[in-house]
Amino acid sequence: MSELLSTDVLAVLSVGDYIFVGIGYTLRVYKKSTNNFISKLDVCYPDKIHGIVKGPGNYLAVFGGKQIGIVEVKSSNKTVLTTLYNAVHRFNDWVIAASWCSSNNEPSKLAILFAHNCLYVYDWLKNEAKEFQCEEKCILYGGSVTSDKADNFVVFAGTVFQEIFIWAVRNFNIGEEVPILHRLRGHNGVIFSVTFDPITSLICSTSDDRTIRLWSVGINSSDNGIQKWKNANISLMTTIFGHTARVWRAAIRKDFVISIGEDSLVCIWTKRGTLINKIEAHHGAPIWSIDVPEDGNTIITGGGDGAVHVWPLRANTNFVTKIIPLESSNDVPKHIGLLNSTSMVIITQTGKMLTQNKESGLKEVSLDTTKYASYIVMQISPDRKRVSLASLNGYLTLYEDNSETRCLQRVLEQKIMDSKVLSMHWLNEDSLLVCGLEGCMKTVKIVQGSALVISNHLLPQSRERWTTTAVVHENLLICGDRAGSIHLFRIGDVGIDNLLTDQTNSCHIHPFQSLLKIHGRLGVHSCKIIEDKLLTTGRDGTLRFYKLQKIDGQKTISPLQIDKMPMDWVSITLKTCTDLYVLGFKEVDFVLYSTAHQRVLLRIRCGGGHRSWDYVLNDGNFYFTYIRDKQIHVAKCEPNFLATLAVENGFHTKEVYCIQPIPTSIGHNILISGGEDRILRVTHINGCGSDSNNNQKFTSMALLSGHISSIKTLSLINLQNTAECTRNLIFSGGGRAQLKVWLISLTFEKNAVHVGNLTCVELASHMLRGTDQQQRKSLQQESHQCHYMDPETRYMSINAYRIPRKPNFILLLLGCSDGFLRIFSYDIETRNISTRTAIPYYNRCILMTHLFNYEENLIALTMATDGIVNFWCLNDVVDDIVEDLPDKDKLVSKIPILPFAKLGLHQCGINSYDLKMLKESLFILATGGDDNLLCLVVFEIKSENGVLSLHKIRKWNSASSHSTQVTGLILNESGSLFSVGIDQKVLTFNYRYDDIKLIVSLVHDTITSVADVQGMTMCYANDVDSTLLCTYGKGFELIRRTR
Amino acid sequence: MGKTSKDKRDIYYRRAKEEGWRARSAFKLLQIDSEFHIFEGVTKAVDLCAAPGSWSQVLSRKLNKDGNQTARIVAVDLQAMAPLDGVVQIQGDITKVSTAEEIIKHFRNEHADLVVCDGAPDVTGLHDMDIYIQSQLLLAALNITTHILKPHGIFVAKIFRGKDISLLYSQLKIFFKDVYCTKPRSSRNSSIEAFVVCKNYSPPEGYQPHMLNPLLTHEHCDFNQLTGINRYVVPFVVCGDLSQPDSDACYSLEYEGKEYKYHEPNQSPISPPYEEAITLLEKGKLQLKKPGTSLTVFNEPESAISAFKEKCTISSSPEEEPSVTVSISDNKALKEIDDESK
Repeated sequence: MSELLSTDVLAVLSVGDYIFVGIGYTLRVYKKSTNNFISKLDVCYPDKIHGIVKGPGNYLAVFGGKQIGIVEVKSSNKTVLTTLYNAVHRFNDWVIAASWCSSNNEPSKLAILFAHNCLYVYDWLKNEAKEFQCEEKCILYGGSVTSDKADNFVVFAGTVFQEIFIWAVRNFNIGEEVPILHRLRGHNGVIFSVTFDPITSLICSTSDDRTIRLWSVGINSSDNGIQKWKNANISLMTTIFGHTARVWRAAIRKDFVISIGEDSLVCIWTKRGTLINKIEAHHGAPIWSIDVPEDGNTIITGGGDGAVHVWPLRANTNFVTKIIPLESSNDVPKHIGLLNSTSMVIITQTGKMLTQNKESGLKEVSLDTTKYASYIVMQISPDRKRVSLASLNGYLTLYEDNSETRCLQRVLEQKIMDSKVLSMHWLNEDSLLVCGLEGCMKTVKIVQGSALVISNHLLPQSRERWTTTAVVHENLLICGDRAGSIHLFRIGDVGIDNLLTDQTNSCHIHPFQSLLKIHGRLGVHSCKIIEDKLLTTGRDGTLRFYKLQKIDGQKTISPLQIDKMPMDWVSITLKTCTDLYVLGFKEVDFVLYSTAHQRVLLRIRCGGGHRSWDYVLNDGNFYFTYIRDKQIHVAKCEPNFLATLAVENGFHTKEVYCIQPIPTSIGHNILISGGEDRILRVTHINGCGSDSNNNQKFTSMALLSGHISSIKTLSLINLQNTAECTRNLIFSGGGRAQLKVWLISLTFEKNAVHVGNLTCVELASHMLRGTDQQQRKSLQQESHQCHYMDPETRYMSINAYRIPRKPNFILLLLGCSDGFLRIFSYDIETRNISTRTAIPYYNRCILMTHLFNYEENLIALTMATDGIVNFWCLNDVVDDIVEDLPDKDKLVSKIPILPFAKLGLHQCGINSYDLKMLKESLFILATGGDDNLLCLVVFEIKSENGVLSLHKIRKWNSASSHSTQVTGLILNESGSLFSVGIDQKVLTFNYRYDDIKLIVSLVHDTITSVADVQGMTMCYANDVDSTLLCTYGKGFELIRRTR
Repeated sequence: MGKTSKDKRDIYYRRAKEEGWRARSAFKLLQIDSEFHIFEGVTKAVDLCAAPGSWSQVLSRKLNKDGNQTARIVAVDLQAMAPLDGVVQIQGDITKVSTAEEIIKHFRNEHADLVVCDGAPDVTGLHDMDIYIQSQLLLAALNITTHILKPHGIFVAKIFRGKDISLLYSQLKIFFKDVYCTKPRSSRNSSIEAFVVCKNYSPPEGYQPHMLNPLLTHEHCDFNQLTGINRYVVPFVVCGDLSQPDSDACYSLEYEGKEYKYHEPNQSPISPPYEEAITLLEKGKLQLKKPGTSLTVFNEPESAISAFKEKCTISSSPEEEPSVTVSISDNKALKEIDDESK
């Protein structure tokens, strides 16, 4: 039984306050106002739902493949019940579109358009059909059918041959071919959708040629029925380019055309083709389905990442910008800051200080121009009540916003630095860090109208030696500098808040911890403390996390994960109660990115990051002010512009190649997955097994980027698995011969899983031939050669093995596409990856590898595209690692290694396997091949005088169980074998070996809705009588098999 | 990634360029022949969905050995393709009886010994739909084959292996005594592609060739009947021995001790559907990847080119990318403008 599924969402429909979604063969219902799941119903098993059409009364037609099911929807105030009316209706042809007859006397009739350009008028109560075949017999990729009250049906058919056919029927004699009324030519590719909107009288079509075309339909008002279409004057009106890939569908709603495509974009246009908004909707996955409810406020999309989203139709266009003029036309603004949503402070080129608010407009504030005329540094305090200014000759001036008079009052002016102040940062409501020349830094506390220097520090030497950001935490001062480094200084023993006098003696002049150039050469931009983590951003386009931890009584930081942001210049992070926003600049745009939704919520064309700007988030309104072209702009975004909650969460955007469950002692299902989209994901499956009627959901806990090509394989070494914590080393590998090592740990609070308790750190990264930069360098040195002769290999399979004799060392076995079996070692302490040996394997791409212990021997299995299983003994390699000679060159083993045994099992590639020990020295191996063959072998391994040998005892195989390649296998202890293939069949066999015979029998089969199945793994079933299988490929599915 | 990376990644791609094949798929047919001897005694052969022509090339080279033009080869495709020695080309639709008649005419009213089809549809990325459309393409190929293949002749075609493949095998089995599913070693391990080799054409007694879809002319097909033991099972044969290179392996450019020389592809891609979109963007210096970028063409018949030039504006507001609004009479006019701007 399918318990959880995430795959392509091909059908979405909104009816009233409900959203109906087709995922796999299941129809799911959600409440629109809350996005909450309500109920589900299996409709089209085993086919995928491709469309949902609302009918009269409470009926829905749900179709997929060659089937249509009629679903009755009964809603009460609390729940929605869906039931399948009779059985599902099966046809011989692929259903392209369906429409309910709109005439009142035929409520049980459907018009169904099939892929061979024919139409059925189908009575689903009587199971009777009238068939109409169009004169042009061809395959349709898309189309639609409309009906009117007089039972006239008009077909809009999109063909492979770039044409749109319009044909119409009414009680035409069956058997006769229906003529085409109009052929619309103009598209340059396959037509994926054609719809007619009667309100605007427009036909809208989308195509492989990346365009949306709007066709005007001129109808003679005196014509009726089919005549109307016969005499219609149809012409191409507008061709719209905006998508960067194929356009799957488009909908016309009132004045808007909304299109979706393979490029993951939702584009909103006017009927004249003016682009209103582009939403990067599904993280790069194609968007397959769309519905625009009649209220015209929202858009619902379903994507290739398995997600379903609701978008505001007019969001993001909702921000208003205004320009605030200065009175003097020859003065221009230089610095701006916001005191609150309606009032700002401005410093002009000529050294004037102004305030601007609603009540009193523009007002000048007195400012000592002798100090501030030519140079000024301005900062607003975190509570936005104080403005600090610093000058060329080291003065600090402080203004306070008087809430009664709404005026800025000068409360302090004091020389604080002997030199020019280069930068200044507020540390809290009444402390500042001031940075002068030659790295001179002072922390300053405002006490009763005077500035008290608390501590002195020295910023380490760099070319542009000043701080760019600073934060305090307990007795730590954490600074980021222009050179991209992070420095930690000690301020006393108790932190800045409790210091009242100059405590320089108990403070460190020099940093006690520095992370040099961590944000690249363009500098750090912000530091923020959230709970026990430090977050920094910089102009290297990243958001970095660090853990704050006490070592020998002193807090220090250690790096955690690095998130690449969709911007080059990452300015600051902004924590709200539900989200963490990241603000920054991408080229000329200001960008607001939500880490919770993993998407850009707002873009404002401000000209780029090199300008004075500020923001305020107030009651859900976001205010952004900036200077552009010597003018002050203020943008205000309406509430709810950020509401883009997912109805259904997304998974990988492309094929999933590998999934590994993280071991937990209390049966949580935490999965790590990798695939074509180069992202390593940590996913939590909530509530599986507890109640099968429950809606099992999954949440993404972390997305780790860093792989430059697809992730093909994962291997896991558990370091700790207790009720409080699980800590694991993850080895990920794939294209471009890239290997990464991650530490993923999760602590449990009262057995519960919280995203905040997960930490992910990239420990090491390795490329066989070095990074691209190193490669280019070495190529330049050997200038006579213009190509690399050696191929760049893909790591197809990784197995990690912790060496018992030397537990700090992990042996890594890598099956490579260039035919080599490579062995690396990883040192847990030094995080060093060293190459040990490379064993050639007849130029066959290795697909699968496995490591296991037999007595004192380490045995490796390799399976390649030649269908042979090879057995290798790796004892010498292990000895090599254990002895670990200091000279690096010596480490690479020169011992020729040959397999000690071979089993030729398949005609070509082996795509899946599992191995179990039956009893001492006796093993059972299951393999699945590209030749559709499923194979089980019982063998024995013997060791005589240190020489290993293998004896094949029994073999069973089946060429007919699967009709396609077998890609996933699991052997379990209780004598079951599970198999899955590209044919999406999930089979359960019982196997038994009784010393004479190997008996295998098929006991169950079902279908997984995951297409292009790449493998299968087992999750915690939390129930002794059942097995929870996880198939993955195009998405993933959890299937429970109960004995 | 350099231009040699594909050469390293795919040995067959590289060898196809070196040996002058129009596509790497040539090796698939060669390997099928090495296993099934499909070219034995063949003097009349048809290549359906032939473009870009690599299978026709194989037919031409294998059937006309030593330069003798003894065999007649007809290549059919909707698109035109570059001419090939010893191959007659028909630009036509394989679902039309007239195309079948034209083929027969080229064989002097005789039927073919061999029909091959390596055609694949425009894939959408939705596996169920792609597999369905490929099966329909294969059935269309089977349909025209029933018009043009002589009794006991051979039919070879590409299939996508999916969950309903048994249905397709059952269809083929009605017309051929021996049906095999095969995968050449030059076809990648991960690919769902395979080939059916159908030998010994023997249609049911009294069968009248037609162009209707054979699947549609049969009774409702019950899914349950096609699972379990009732399902027709086709032998799966891998062709090409292990001495053949591995299509999944990466090879050194100095493979087999030969000196490496870079070759340009023999056949550049046929004009893709999005060509117009790409051209417009290059000319308009627009990048659709950027947010807010779009281009609209008003296909109003009355506008002239001069009017277009006046109307062609690049608008830019603080919040929007420049967007080009173009009004022109039709696409032809647009191309003329492109030429002028050169």
